[in-house]
Formats: sequence, C-alpha cells, structure tokens
Amino acid sequence: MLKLFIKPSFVFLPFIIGIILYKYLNKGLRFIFLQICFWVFTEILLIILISTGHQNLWYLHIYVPIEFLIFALTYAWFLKELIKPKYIYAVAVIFISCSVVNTLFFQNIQLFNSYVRAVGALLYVCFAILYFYKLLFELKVQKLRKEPMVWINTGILIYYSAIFFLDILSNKIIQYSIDLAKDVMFIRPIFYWIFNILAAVGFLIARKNAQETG
Amino acid sequence: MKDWLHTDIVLILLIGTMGMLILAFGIILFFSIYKKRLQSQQLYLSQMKAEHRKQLLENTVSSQEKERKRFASDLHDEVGAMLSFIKLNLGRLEKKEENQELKELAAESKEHLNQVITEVRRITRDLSPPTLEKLGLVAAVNEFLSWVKRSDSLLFSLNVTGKEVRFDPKNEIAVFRIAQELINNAIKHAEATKITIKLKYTSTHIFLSVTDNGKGFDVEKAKTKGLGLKNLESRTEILKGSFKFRSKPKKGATFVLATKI
Ligand SMILES: Nc1ncnc2c1ncn2[C@@H]1O[C@H](COP(=O)(O)OP(=O)(O)O)[C@@H](O)[C@H]1O
Ligand SMILES: [Mg+2]
Repeated sequence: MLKLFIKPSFVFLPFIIGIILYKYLNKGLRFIFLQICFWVFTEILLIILISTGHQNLWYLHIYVPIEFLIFALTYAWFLKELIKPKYIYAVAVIFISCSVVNTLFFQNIQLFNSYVRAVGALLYVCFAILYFYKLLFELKVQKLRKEPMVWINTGILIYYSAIFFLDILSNKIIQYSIDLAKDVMFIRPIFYWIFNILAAVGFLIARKNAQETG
Repeated sequence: MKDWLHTDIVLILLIGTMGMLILAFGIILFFSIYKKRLQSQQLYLSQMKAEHRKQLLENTVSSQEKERKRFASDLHDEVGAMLSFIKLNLGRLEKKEENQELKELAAESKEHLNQVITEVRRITRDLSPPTLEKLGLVAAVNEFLSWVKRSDSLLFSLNVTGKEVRFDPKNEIAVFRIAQELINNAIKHAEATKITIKLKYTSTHIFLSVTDNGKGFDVEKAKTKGLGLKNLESRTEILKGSFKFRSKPKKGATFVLATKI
C-alpha cells in the first residue's frame, strides 16, 4: 500500500528551490524547508525499501512523530505572538507520547497507524487556522500575497484537511474493497503537489522580498 | 447489507466534500475579511494622523498667538513706560536748559523719541491688536491700514458688505492674521499702486479678498519661498475654510478666503 505514497512527486521542486534560496529564508521558513528535506529523505528511503523488497509499514510509526515534531517547531515560531511556544511544545510531547503508546498497544508496526495520522492532520489544520487568525488579529502584513508563509500555510491547510478526509474514507472503504481504496489513495498526490507548488512559491517570494528590501 | 455499506461511504464522501468546500470558502473569506480589516485600519490610522496634525497645528498657532501677546504686553509695559519716562525727562531738559545748542538737541531727541514711541506702539498693535478683541475684525483691519498707510503713496481701500458679526475669537484672529499677511505681502513684494481689501459677511460665511495691481507672481513657486504663504495655508486649515490665489506676472494678485462663521 505504501507504494502509493512514492508516486513521483513534486517534493523535489521546493527542495531544490529551498537549497538555492536557503539564505533568504527566515527561521520559520527554514523549519518548513527542514520538513521538506525530511519528506525527500522519506521518499528516497521508501524507494530503496520497496525496490529491495523490504517491509516498510513500520517506517510510518517513526515518520508521523518526526513530522509532527518539525511542524510543532515551525508553528511554535510562526504563532509565537499568539501562543507561547511552550504550549505548542507541550502539544508535541503529548502527541508523540500518544503515538508511541498507540504503536505499543493499539496499532503495532505491522499495522497502519491511522489514528495518530488523523489526529496529526487535524492538529496541523488547527495550526494553519491559528496562523490565519494571528494574521487577522495582528494586521501587520500589508499584502498577503507577498508573505511567503501565507502561501505555504494555505498549502498545509488544504493538504492536511484533504489527508484527514481521505484517510477516514479509505479506512472505511478498505473494509469492503481494497481496489477501491487504492483508487481513493490516488487522489492524495494531487494535494501533495498543490502543497509542494505552494511551498516553492513561498520560497521564491521570500527571495523576492529580500531583494526588494535590499 | 450492501445498501448499508453504500450509505455509510456516501455519508463520509458527502461530509468530506462539504468540509473541503467549507474550507475553500473559509480561505476565500479569510482573504476578503483580511483586506477589509486592513483597509479600515489604514483609514483609522490616516484619520488619526490627520487629527494629530491638526491638533499640532492648532497648538503651534495658539502658542504663537500667546507668545505674541506676551511679547506685546512686555513691550508696551516695560519699554513703552521707559520711553515715556525718557520723553518726560527730555521735555524737562528742553524747558530748563539755558544753553541754546543743548536745548535744540533735546528737542530733536524728543522728536526722534516720539517716532520710536509711535513705532513701538505700532509693533505692539501688530503683535496683538487690542482692537480686534474689543471692536472686531473690520475695526482692526481699518486700524492696521491706518498704521501702514501713513508712509506710502500707496492707495488702500476697504469695502465691507453685509452686516458685521463677531465670531469665535480664535477664528477672528486667524482671519485677521491672514489679512495682515496679505496686505504686508502686497506692500513688500507687489510694487503695487492700489490695494483693495474686501470683507463680505453673509449669515453663514465670511469672505475676505485682497487684490493688488502689482507685478504678480507664480503662486506655486512662491509657496516654497516664504513662511507667509505656508502659515496662511495652515491658518485656513484651522478655520476649516478654503482659499484661492490668482496671480499672473504683471497682472497683480488676488486672494480670496471663504470660511464659515
Ligand atoms: N502680492 C504679491 N505680489 C507679488 N509677489 C508676491 C505677493 N505675495 C507674495 N509674493 C511672492 O511670494 C513669496 C512668498 O511670500 P510669503 O510666503 O508671504 O513670504 P515672505 O513674505 O516672507 O517673503 C514672496 O517672496 C514674493 O516673492
Ligand atoms: Mg509674507
């Protein structure tokens, strides 16, 4: 089933742009870049695991907590004017503990850790909404389309709400028809592309801003 | 069995689709609300700025007036009193002195001193015209003209139409200062032979116009030159009035001010 995750994706687009423009990225955007690096690493690792015929479902049990940790760091930085970072770190600690508990007692490494994935996606959606709320609350940004994180945050919001929905849907369908579930999984990359394109746009805008301000 | 399965998945699909639609709508809503809030905030800020600027202007002008008043009263009370005293002594000296030469010198000094006293009185009145407060704008302008008239062969005329009414002293003094500046400008710069001042009162407004038949000037260029025209602008702003300058080189200049009473 994990084959579906490694459809050739656009993650290399923001990855390469991120490398080139790294010096223009602020701390928050560097966390986003870190996330993208992690995704690149994941894709390569999965290609290797699958091509060598190894099991790979276990990797999701490591992947989900790490992804959460990086997003928590990202949003702790972006939301610091709204929420004290320590609260977001606390959420991260709780989430990661729950993820470990889930792996140990409920969905072991032979199984798909759907519960934590769903909760994680929901939390990312909350973070993204909070970020928009912060913008609206502060009114500091003069032009939203010139703020890199607005693009990336929109991508995160769309991507993870889609994931949340598709996960639930495919988990339901899989009980009746694996083929149909696979079809549903094919929709995923579309949202992944959307996110990666928005992330690339965000990085490019960061450079443009840096050049305009000199 | 099959039917139940069907509704189950359809329900999730339905909710999910709705959720995504709501999300898309929410994002669009966010962008438009953000824009609106930003605009209203900018409007608010610019209003605050304008308000602040006006406040500042009013403060400067009113403290300027206060300072002038203080200076005028000092000049009148201290210097004026001293000069009168000196004049008295000179008069006594003139009377008592036997020496004809010294007597003449005293008389001559007294004559000069008279001029100085007149000048000081003129300056005092310029600085803080008591007539304005007591008798109003027309009298004050008239008096001001009588002070500037005496030296020149320049022709002045003051026309008043409508019934004179008194208005807010702060505004009265602003109109008076504007008239003063315009008359001074016409005397100083215009090389005119005739200066016409018109005051027109209606039930709601007062109009002031000052016209000279002098050499005229380029209004836009002149604005950067002197403080006078700038002060004029700010005083008009305080009055919430409006003004118009019309001038062409060699064709004289006309200034019109309109403000509510
Ligand atoms: N009535 C006028 N006729 C000709 N020139 C004028 C007249 N009023 C103003 N000006 C020109 O405009 C310039 C600016 O005037 P003003 O701001 O009152 O400054 P100031 O009187 O201190 O020179 C003057 O220097 C003069 O050249
Ligand atoms: Mg002047």
